[in-house]
Amino acid sequence: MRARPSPSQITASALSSPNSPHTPIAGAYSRSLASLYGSPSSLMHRDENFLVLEFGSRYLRVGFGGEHAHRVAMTFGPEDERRVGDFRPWLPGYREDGPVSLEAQGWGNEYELWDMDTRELDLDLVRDKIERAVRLAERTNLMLDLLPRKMTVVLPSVFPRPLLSVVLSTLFSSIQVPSISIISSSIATAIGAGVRSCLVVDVGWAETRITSVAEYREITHSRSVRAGKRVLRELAKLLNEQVSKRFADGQSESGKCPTLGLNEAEEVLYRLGWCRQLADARSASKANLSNDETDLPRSDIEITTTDPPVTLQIPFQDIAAAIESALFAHGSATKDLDDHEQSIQLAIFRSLLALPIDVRKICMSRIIVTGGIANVPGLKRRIKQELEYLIQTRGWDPVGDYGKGRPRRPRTTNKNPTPSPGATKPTPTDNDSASEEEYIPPAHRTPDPDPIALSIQNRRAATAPIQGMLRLVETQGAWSGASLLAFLRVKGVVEVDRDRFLKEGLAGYAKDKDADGGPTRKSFGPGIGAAGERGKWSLGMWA
Amino acid sequence: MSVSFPYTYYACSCADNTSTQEKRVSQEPQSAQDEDERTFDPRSRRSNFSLYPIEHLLYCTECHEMRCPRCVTEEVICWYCPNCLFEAPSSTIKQEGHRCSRNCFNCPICTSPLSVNSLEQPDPPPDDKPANKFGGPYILHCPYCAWSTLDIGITFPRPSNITGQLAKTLNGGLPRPPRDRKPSSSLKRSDPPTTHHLDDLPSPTSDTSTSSSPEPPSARTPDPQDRYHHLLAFYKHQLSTSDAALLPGTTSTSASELGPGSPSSIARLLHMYGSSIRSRAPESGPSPMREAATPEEGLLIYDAAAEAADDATIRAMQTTAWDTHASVSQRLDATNRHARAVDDLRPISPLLRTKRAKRCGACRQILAKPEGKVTSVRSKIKLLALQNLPKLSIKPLASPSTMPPPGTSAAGRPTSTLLTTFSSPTLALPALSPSSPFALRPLTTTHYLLTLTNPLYDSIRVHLAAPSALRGRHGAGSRVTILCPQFEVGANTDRRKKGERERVEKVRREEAFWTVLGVGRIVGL
Ligand SMILES: [Zn+2]
Ligand SMILES: [Zn+2]
Ligand SMILES: [Zn+2]
Ligand SMILES: [Zn+2]
Repeated sequence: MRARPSPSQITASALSSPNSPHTPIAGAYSRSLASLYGSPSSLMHRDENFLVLEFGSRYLRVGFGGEHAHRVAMTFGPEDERRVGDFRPWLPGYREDGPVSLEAQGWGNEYELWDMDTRELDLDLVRDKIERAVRLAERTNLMLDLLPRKMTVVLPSVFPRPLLSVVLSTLFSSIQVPSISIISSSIATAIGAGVRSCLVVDVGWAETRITSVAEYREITHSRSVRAGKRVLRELAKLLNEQVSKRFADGQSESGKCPTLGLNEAEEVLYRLGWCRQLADARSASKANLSNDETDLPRSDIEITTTDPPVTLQIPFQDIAAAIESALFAHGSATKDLDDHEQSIQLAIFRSLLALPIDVRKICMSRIIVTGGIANVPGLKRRIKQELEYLIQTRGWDPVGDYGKGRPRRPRTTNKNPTPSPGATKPTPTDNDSASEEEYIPPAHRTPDPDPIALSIQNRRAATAPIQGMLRLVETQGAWSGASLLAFLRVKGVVEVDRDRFLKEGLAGYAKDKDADGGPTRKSFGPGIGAAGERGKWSLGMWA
Repeated sequence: MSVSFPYTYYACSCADNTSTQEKRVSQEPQSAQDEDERTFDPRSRRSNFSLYPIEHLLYCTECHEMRCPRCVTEEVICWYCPNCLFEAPSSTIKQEGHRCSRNCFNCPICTSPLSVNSLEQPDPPPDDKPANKFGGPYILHCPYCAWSTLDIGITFPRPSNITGQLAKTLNGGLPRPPRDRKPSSSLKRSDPPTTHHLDDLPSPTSDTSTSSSPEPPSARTPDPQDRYHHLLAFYKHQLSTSDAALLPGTTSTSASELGPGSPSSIARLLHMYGSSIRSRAPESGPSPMREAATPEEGLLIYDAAAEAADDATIRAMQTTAWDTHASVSQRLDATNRHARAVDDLRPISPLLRTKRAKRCGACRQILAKPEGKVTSVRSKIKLLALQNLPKLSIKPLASPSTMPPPGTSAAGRPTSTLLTTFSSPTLALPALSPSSPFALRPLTTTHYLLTLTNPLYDSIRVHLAAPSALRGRHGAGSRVTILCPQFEVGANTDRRKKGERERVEKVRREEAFWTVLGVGRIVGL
């Protein structure tokens, strides 16, 4: 039975068919399969391979533009650095090298592709890792039959230039692509959420990056080291405490107490990681002080990497507590923390505070929590509750603690954070009914567009966005956002040409730093690609 | 990070080439001291990326250099399924996700291949297809760990086209709601006439958007793929409408020129009107594109329903046992990326493999070209390093109790020593322990025998060099003496035809002795 071609195909071919010679939809198209593993590639011309790569500290996500998700996420752990022909992992009884002590400075670093602090970084090693990861991804997942025509690379917006140079030169040499466009991960995240302005909270591996985006321009940027690495380290600490307790009790038969590392912690995070609600966490911490914790419900955690395997019984609450202490930093006074160590709710709050009020209103209704840790159940709600609490208690007052002084204004006026009486908040249904009046049955539609009606309609939608209330928006992720862009053939802001890069390197681009006119920080904008200034282009914010 | 001691790795120089290039490009010119430090250090982390067993290397006869996987370019000859060995036609592989579309599946628990089994039923329902001998329903079953699709509540009425049947069924057996791929009805209603072609769509399913269809019990969020297509349709619509007739100069407003690919609209998605935040209602000029406003346009809010779903997940976590949660490794494959519980796992369709031709990265000469047929293991062209480079193997001449005397070893086949080391490292693993006779001991001289095998028909001259003192944790500070630093290895005298020669490997060998005097304490391994 052959499936009927899905409607979107027809849409696509109708959109593009007069424009270019178009391959007819393949007869062999099988709907069921395509829907399982990706978009029907007949949407694209068959021969076009638009690659999309998203670089993170621990992962490299690789896939085809126009598909909803990446094909594969390459990792950079010690196992991935193995020599070719080293088959020890398949030996019975093989164990990885023991984990680094929890107190060590570089805990978890061996699982990173790079450290943003490039002073100590071996760039050639980074090159080797990227080269191998890209080659493996191509070999096992992409299986390109033709060289890709275009490549989109998603990078953090604050990215050291030496690393950028390494990334580009490695990609140019390992995949023969004529040009690479670079897009910042926060913009891609916004596109993946369908919004134009937002506050992106990327709870990544090494750091949480908070970027405010207005109309696809990055406005502010801040960060905190409270992110995935901290979370896993706290979990590893928890596990190791329990293991050593067991060994001290003599419950385990023999052997020396094993040290559990990142892999075990990650297993616990994937299976049992969660966050409590703010109120629950508060009452629990009070109860903890008075009560003994013996009657708390416990979860079994089976550790198979030790010899012999052990089963730990850890209170379910403690897992949440460990994650929360890593991210929300309750228990340590704010003033004791460095700026880069501030809790993520405070970092978000300060980012919002730093915005002009109009932008803040828009952004606070479009907070996007993304990144590897974002899927921990309960985390988004907790962030929302923490923010609500901060806004309620402090208002939009830049001074957090007046000490013995008094606030300039009574705080009660700030209770309602953004009183915006003028702004109406139409629900989507309002929009629908409004546009319903203009609805013309298809048979009566004129083929020509009506520019006035069109602009009115667009303006109506644009002028009345939801704002002023705290709201979290979900994103498809930065990779998917970049995939959308690649598929829509939207030129990235930064297009690096292969020949020119190989000839001049990044130095050639840095000269054009000011070509886009605006301040570098906000320069996700003019002066690019189709705007006409083809000869003039720059590294944008990465200059 | 070392394998058992007696092993031989070959270092390909391509890694150094790229790095020096880079240094020239990106950094200040490095001084001459850098040159001195470029001697290859097998203990550095980088060495893992450029060291290869000789069996993995090719040899370019034009460039006279070995070629490792990173300095060859590859071309796919065919795609095939590793389970059923059927070749996949290149026209469909990409839309099938580069996976087998036949009845091949791997177990999501243990990755073994699954088999299609019939559930024997007391009274098989009358089947209109006479071809079916066994009554359905059918299941996929893992012969290794006994997992089956019954565990996730899925059975198949037919034993063929499992892939198609699986795609239509959710875990638990409920049918998957039809994919809502088209711009949804609400978006269509607000469409301006430019996009009239959208109305040409056949629309029997167009009104069953995901929001109105019965929600599957486990998923509160729309399928990520559906949402992606909502977003895609939304952006396409935005790109095609907000540009229409509004850009000065676009006089012809035929829909074709306003497609998402048209250059006039391309730049606008990203960098429109930076001032539009402050002046939210621009009085003149084109209207700004707007953001997605409804779920049909791809907007997804973290709302009360999402919080309730989180609560349900947390409750399930708390009440169920450790092994009911999907592990990190079970979530590795893209099929099960979002699975939280073992019950959410789906059978994994195996990724295809490829046969590839390899060319020299420098001169484009074909170095290897397998035969096109999937089941053939022969090659049309194969320029191996094994046939062109001397093969080295090294082994300790240790205490006579554990090692055969030197005479025996020389008479044996040195190559086999090397091979065993690779294929079954267990044999060599004891050598790693400090108590083994191979390990370096303080103030004890250890002898090693280096054997060179020359596959060429010309004799070669060999010069050996070694650092005067060893570094690294295995015997730091030990002194190395090469007893025979220069010697000649005679030509391969076997002039028989190539095929025969491969079977009767008879080549000239010469051996050199190394001694290592262990100095100081050996750090425990
Ligand atoms: Zn090489
Ligand atoms: Zn197959
Ligand atoms: Zn199995
Ligand atoms: Zn060559």
